[in-house]
Amino acid sequence: MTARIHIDDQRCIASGNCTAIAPDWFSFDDDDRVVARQPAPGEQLPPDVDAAANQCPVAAIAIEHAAT
Amino acid sequence: MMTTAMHDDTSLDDAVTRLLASDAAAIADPYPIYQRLRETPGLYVHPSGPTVVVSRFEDAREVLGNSTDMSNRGLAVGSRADAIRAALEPDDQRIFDEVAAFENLYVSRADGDLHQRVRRISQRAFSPRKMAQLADRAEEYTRQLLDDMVRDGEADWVHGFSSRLPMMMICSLLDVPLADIDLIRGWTAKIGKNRGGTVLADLREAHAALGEFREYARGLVATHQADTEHSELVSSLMGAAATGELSEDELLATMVVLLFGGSDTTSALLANGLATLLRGEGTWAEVVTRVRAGELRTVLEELLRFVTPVQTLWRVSTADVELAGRPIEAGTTCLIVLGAANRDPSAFDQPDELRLDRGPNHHLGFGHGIHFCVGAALARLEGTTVLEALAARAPDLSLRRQPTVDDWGGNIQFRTLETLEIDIAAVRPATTDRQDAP
Repeated sequence: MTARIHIDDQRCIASGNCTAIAPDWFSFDDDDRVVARQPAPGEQLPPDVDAAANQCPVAAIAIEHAAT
Repeated sequence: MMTTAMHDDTSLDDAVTRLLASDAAAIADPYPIYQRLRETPGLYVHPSGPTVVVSRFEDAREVLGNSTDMSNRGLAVGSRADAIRAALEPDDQRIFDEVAAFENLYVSRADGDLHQRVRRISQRAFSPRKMAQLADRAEEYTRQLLDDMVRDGEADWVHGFSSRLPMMMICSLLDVPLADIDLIRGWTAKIGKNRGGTVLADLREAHAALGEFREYARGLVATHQADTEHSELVSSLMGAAATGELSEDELLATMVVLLFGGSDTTSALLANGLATLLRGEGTWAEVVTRVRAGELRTVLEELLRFVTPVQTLWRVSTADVELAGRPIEAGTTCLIVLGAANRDPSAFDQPDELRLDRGPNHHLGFGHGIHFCVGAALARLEGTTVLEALAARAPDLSLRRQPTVDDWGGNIQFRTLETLEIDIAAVRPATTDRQDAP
């Protein structure tokens, strides 16, 4: 399994939930937009990343799990 | 009809009526009422209005996530607001309309384009990255307030600390003189007490306070226009007003709602939260241990869930929708009880237990959807700063007196302790080895 993290800039409201829940995976750029530190980590993601996606108040984070 | 007739309905109706009317005993402990609301099959509908009361976690999340069919004008229009307004004398209807017109401009009450415009301006200034840059200021104010309490032997945490720190932070963000804090607190208390004219006396007081607050904000804008140095938040607000992106009324309403929303909510977190952590059973010792172990944020998120400083949110349906398998007609007032959703056993294991290691914590303490609290990062900064300072300076802290029903105030949306006596002698002097202290 590999995973890819998508962030929808248009939806993001910079709530800070994802950066609080999974700070190793999400951060803010200089324009206060959330970015994935590793958009395509090529490995299984820890549960925190799913939790961050689930707790995004505007569902701006999508995680794509694909079989290699 | 959408009502669900249950054997217990009349007594539950009475209980919710007491909550809505800010009855002290109901405000002091609303949780048994919340449990009955959650356990009502389908949707519980209160006869005032009627009002649909949304108390289960999944239902609350669904309603808050639906900004297409739900408007944030729930205290101004809709089945409940219309019934309240219709029962008023003409003079009070005029007051109701004036309060509603102004409050409708708040970012928290606005829909659609207005919401997007106001939110965009506020959001940049309150971003988590910008808030992190304020950590030193939050620490400095926290140290000052604790030092003052120790020096004066002030035992009342609410008077000496929790009602002050959030107001100091938001005032400094808006370039408001700290000397005006007591004045502003007087207004925000009255504005927050009124929930859409539920209690007539509160509506009248809020109307008077809003008039004064608005004039004060107008004076503040004039001062800011004359000044050349501004905080980033003030710069962006004044800039938006100068280009016409914000009207004068929208600018004033934004300043008022930021001063209000930036203070009373976090004050409730700090007051109700510390009471929770100091209630005994070794809780505070566990907090101190966990803070030292670097689990500060986990502790704070559980406290946010457990306390839920904003207990309710109001919405009004703009289309016929369905929730929990029941129809809700367009124009129906919906009261979303975050305090109940955050104690829903279908979403949280043993929800009435404070579990300081609960995680990941998917609470709705800051709401959900596009209206998610714009000041969440500021509230989190203040919460962690205070917990860290207290854990370091007062590892043996305790309450001098357990709170009683009489110590609670506020209303169904903002329930708060109005006094909390702590053992201030347990707070040590601040360490003086900081090189960067001003």
